[in-house]
Amino acid sequence: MHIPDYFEFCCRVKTLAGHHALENIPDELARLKANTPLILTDKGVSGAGLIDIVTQAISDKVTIGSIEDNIPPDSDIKVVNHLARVYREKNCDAIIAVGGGSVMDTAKGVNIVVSENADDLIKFCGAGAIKRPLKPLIAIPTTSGTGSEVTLVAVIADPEKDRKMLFSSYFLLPNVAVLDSRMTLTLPPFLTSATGMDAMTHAIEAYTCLAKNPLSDTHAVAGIELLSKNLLNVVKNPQDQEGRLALAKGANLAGIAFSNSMVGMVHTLGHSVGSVCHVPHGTCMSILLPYGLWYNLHKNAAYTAELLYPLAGPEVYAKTPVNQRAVKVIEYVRQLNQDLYDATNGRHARCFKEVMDRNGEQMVKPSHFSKIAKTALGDGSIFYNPEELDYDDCMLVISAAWAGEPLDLSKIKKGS
Amino acid sequence: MGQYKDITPGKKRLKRLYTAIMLWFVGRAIQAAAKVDDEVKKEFDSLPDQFLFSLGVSPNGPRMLVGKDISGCVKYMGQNPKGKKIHVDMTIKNLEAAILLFTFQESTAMSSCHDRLSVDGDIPSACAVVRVLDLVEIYLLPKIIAKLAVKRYQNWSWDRKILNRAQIYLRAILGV
Amino acid sequence: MQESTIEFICPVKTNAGKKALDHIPIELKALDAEHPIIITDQETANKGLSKYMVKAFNDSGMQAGLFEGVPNTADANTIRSLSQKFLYKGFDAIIAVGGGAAMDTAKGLNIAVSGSPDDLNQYSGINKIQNRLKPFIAVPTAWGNGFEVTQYAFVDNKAYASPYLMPDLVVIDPVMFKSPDIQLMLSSVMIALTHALEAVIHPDSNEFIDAYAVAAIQYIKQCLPQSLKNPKNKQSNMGLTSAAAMAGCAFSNVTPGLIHRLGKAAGTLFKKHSGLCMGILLPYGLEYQLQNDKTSSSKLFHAVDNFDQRAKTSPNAYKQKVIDYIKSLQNEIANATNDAIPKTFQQTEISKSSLPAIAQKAIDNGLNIDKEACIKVLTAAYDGTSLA
Repeated sequence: MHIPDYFEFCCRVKTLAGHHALENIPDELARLKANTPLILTDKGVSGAGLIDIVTQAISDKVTIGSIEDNIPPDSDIKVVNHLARVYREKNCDAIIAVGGGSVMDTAKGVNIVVSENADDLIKFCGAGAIKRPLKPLIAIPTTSGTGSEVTLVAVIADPEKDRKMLFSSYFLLPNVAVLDSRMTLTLPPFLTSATGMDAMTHAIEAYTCLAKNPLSDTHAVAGIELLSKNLLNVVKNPQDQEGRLALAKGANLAGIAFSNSMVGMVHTLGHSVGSVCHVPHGTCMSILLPYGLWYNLHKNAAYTAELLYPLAGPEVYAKTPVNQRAVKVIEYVRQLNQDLYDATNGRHARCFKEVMDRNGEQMVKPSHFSKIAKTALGDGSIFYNPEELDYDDCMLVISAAWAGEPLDLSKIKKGS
Repeated sequence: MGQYKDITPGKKRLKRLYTAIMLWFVGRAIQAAAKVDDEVKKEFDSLPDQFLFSLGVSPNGPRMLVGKDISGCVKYMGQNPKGKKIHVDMTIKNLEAAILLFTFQESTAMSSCHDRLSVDGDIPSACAVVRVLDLVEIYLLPKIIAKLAVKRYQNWSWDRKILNRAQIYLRAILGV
Repeated sequence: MQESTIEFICPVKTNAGKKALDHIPIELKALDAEHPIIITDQETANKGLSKYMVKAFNDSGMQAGLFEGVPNTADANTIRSLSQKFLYKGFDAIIAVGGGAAMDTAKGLNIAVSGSPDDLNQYSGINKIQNRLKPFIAVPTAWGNGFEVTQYAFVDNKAYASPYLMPDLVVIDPVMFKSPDIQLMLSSVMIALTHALEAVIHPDSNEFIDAYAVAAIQYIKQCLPQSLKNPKNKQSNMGLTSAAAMAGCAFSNVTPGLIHRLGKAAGTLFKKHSGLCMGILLPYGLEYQLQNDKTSSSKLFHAVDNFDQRAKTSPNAYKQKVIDYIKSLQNEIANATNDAIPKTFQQTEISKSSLPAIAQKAIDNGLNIDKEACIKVLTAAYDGTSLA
């Protein structure tokens, strides 16, 4: 086990997980001395009937202040301010966020505004700006997942001033994360595969990058085990409740891991492809994961090798000689992407040139590579990657990931 | 029964002095490197006008500011952040962490992995700043130490390594 | 609680490693506090460890108070006089440095100053505390037992249980582990191991609890041999305390198990460190609990052994491998300490005839296992023979 010279680990979120976990919410609200929650979500979630399930589970014990489902795919300061006004108007005393990353971020933003009576959110940007507990926040993820129900950051865009505000504080963590299998039961296969690989990437990067620590490692391994045992199965059998719950727990554990030990180049490049070409985050992660592992092999092969056990199981681990395990992990991930591609009839992309928008147009073209590489150089996760990445390195990886070809290891600059 | 006493915190004068000197020197070295090294120049060119970054120690520790003046020249701008608009504010959480950083027991990357640094402000610019710091460290330190301070130690050409290094040292000391 | 909904909480932040103490001022600021009182026990003061705590505040600009020498068992009188000092000087946070007594006193103090000193009596028992208390940072030293991170406190032999008693932050710095008392250190390791292993096989166990328990076990596996070889090794000693803290986090989410309860009962009745008693009981208690339980054997084996071992071992061998591992640990400890640490009750002053009383005490304190079975486990631990 790797024991770093120094590390910090914190996950203050209470986790509840089960097939009827939602029904515990009234008790949790009571424990937090609240009983009039504001429910925040987006149209996708309410359209899928998930909010009805939530309200049915809790409405005879609490008074729902209001249900607001107009949160856009990218959290926006205008929406945050509007929702804060609704919170005050309806005399709410808690927030329940039901959804994915953007709903969670928006909910955290709203929580800052209503707890600190903030008229200007920008004052609360940056480390150490939020110093006191905020209002009760209960997070119910509907994908498995982004892990944002256990992260201490929130990103809110301010399009008018063309800036993205980053908030970071342990007080942003939700009080409770409720993982209920009913919330992901209707998630379509291609979204299940993409969000599942997002979670897998979180856990794998948390385990193999520079800020790893003993606690994040055990969470990462536990997450990987649950995800690898259940992802393909649930994509093929979407109604498998046990499988859905296992994925939700796996994504949550992966979220706890990366929230405490950061991520690396898969996210560095993935964020950039996402922001330049608008490819969904989960898709970027699945495609780039093997490339991140390839690129960093000369630095962290030992850690990657250990992951063969939770990924492929004891028999494969025992059969594979030690010095081949890291490469086997990469093969395994590529194979998983292939299996998911087959199981989703081609909707889960294996490489960027296969990613199509609604009109069947290619979303990532070679002409985008340069901008992606330049944007990647400005992503904070680059610090935590075991190896340096410059413009040429980014171009090398992006081109290979676009074509779906193995990374040419001889071209990786290794320094002296 | 036990004993009670009030504690008035002392100061770590020697460590403060050392850190202050290192910060001053690194600040001046960045100013010099921006004139001498193309890569450093390029990083600063991509940063906004009148960009200013600050690296210092919490709570009231020594600090250095470096930025671009009105004509776009990269300058070491002293130790006092008051009244200045800072685009990227890097804070080392305490003096001991600063000592670990400036005695090269921990590299910049490891220091941030160990939660010893916090970075506020525009993140893409912060990434550029860290790259500049890495380049300056390769210039200032002998290979055996620089290799510990950066992730990838690149082998440069002779003139870049020797000639530029000499220029940077000279300029940093003289302040030109 | 809804049927089969699992639950996990750990509000404690962990800072562990070199210079961890120096991060305390900025952590206090993040908790909106600037004026802490530091409480330590006599052992800590005697070993000269308080000075490291004080040094951590140099250059921070923060004033603090230092109280050295809380008594060996937390008591209401000390808490009352400390709370008066706290209110008079306007402190806004509590830092406890040392072992169980310092931690219990700090938790009691936190109750007293967050409401009123008379509240102590009112709030004893389970979940009586309703509000957040003042910021509390725990800095365990080598004679801790992992209890600092739990929701429990014991004052005047009364138990207090509430999640609000858990510290906001636990700080583990190698500088605090220079010269540990080996017996206490090993006692603490045994408590940690007991907590971690019993958390994994507990009926309420889940993946989240396991994440902490497995980390604790791995720390012990890695650091115990080093500490036994070189008791002055600060890094490995620190690792063992980290294990105790993590095991405490896991333990806080389950109810105490068989080995914990029997060990504590034996320790109280015979005035021995409960950790040493738990250490003796471990292989026998586990043998009893794993008897016909294949799932628990499997879970425990996976928690204890590394990937390579796991890949090579067949499921039938899981239970025995775990017990063998514990016995080999006991042997390692006995060898390294020249048998100063007993492996069976026979090697202590506990007599065979007193075993039923130990069983009874544990049952009186809440152990829900048939007395005959307890005596069987205790007897096996006395003789050093397998249960079967």
